[in-house]
Amino acid sequence: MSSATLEKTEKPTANGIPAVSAAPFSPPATAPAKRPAAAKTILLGFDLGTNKSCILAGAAGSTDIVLSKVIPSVVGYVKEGIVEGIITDNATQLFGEDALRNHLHVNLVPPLANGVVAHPEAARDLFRHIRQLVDPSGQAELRAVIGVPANADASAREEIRHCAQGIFDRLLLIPEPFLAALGFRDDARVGQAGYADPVINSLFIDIGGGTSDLCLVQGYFPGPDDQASIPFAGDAIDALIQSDLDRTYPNNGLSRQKVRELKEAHSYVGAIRKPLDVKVVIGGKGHSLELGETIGNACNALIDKIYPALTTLIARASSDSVLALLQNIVVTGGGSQIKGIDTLLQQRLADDGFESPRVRVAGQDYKRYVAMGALKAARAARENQWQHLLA
Amino acid sequence: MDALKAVRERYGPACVNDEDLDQIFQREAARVTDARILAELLAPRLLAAMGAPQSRETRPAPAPPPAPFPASSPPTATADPPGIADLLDGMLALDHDARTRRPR
Ligand SMILES: Nc1ncnc2c1ncn2[C@@H]1O[C@H](COP(=O)(O)OP(=O)(O)O)[C@@H](O)[C@H]1O
Repeated sequence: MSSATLEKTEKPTANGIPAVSAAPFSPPATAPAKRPAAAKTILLGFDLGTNKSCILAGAAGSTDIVLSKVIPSVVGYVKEGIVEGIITDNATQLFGEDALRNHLHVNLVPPLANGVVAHPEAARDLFRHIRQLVDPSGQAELRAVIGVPANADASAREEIRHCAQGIFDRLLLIPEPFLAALGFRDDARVGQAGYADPVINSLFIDIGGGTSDLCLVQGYFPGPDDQASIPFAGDAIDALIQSDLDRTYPNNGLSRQKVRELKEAHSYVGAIRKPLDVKVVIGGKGHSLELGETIGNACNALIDKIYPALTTLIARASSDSVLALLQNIVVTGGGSQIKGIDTLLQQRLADDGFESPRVRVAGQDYKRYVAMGALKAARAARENQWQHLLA
Repeated sequence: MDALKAVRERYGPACVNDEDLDQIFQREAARVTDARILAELLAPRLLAAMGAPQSRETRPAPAPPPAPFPASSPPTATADPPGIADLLDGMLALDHDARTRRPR
């Protein structure tokens, strides 16, 4: 299911979703005064991530996508005293890749830490930047559905609202796993025989950088019992690989970034694969390192961490939904790219006696599912479900 | 079965092949199973939603999962998949609760 198929198959009336009520919107009485009464409405699906954000935008009442973008969640504030002309257009703020490229000339500020807003001003600047991207004229009414971590508390959600105030006109905050399921689901097949709708009954395992987050998605707001967050994910795998390399190849001089690249290129779980010879340049000289065991052990450690949480959550599902749930376990996030992770988890569940488990990986589009789900939610939301944000 | 016999007599034995039939039967059986599972899943939630309406203000925290359908817009008897907007209602009720409970 690629974003291209999403765009094609996403017909609001297929699958019984109420027809998009977004167009024509009557101008809200409480909308920020600066927008003209007949302003067009743009809907925004926004995955506001700690490391990366994904934004999908489309005009209300159409299924077109006018903007699809994944950007590093970072704002660069240009340092004082930078000579004119160094920064394009002498901008004072840079965003995403631009900020990272100019890291020598800017102070990099990530708006989020651990899934919640850590630097509100940077978050507001990032929102303004996105508003500018999707609506350069500044005339449209902008309605954003933003994904929030399932375990974000009320104050974390309030902070996002606060940051969006005066930049977006209306807002809806929805838990990320629900949006991921909504993005992942194949709308054309909802209601068909044999199609198990992930929005109604699924278990999402999101393996990111800092945490692996497991969540039962059963059509309602996930409560504490529906989720587990494990502080072991991609970064922890990198740390294990690096410490093992330091032991086997002392003074290897490999940076954490390089270790991460090696991991991403060769990650796998399951039986140790040997030989896995990898060429690296250390101190200007080419070396060949045997990484089969190092990478295999580090990635398998992840499985050992998440598997108990997986079975705990399965055990919490009601007896009438658990069989269908076992058919709908989805691994997403960067960690879903680890080779063999679906097969191994499925095998473990089967070995432990779980009935016909089926574990899938979200695929190459994993970065976009939350934003896709958010845009679908924006298109389907009823007028009274949007929260007004006053200027 | 009679219908099948009649068709075969009229158009020849090869006109409907057994594998196709098998597939159709399997597909239909799966549909029935799915419908049953869905009905089983939804029935308790529907009952909860319609039988015991709770006002937002009085619902204790942590609130129980709200039914996927709000009582105000019950689904049709044909167990259509719930619309996204209906699901959002449940999400928003809890979010609203959390905000109204928060000391300012
Ligand atoms: N092919 C891969 N194999 C193993 N890990 C990967 C792969 N691709 C990405 N990752 C890891 O996934 C993590 C990032 O996941 P992501 O879901 O993008 O993060 P977050 O949601 O925390 O921003 C990083 O640790 C990254 O190295």
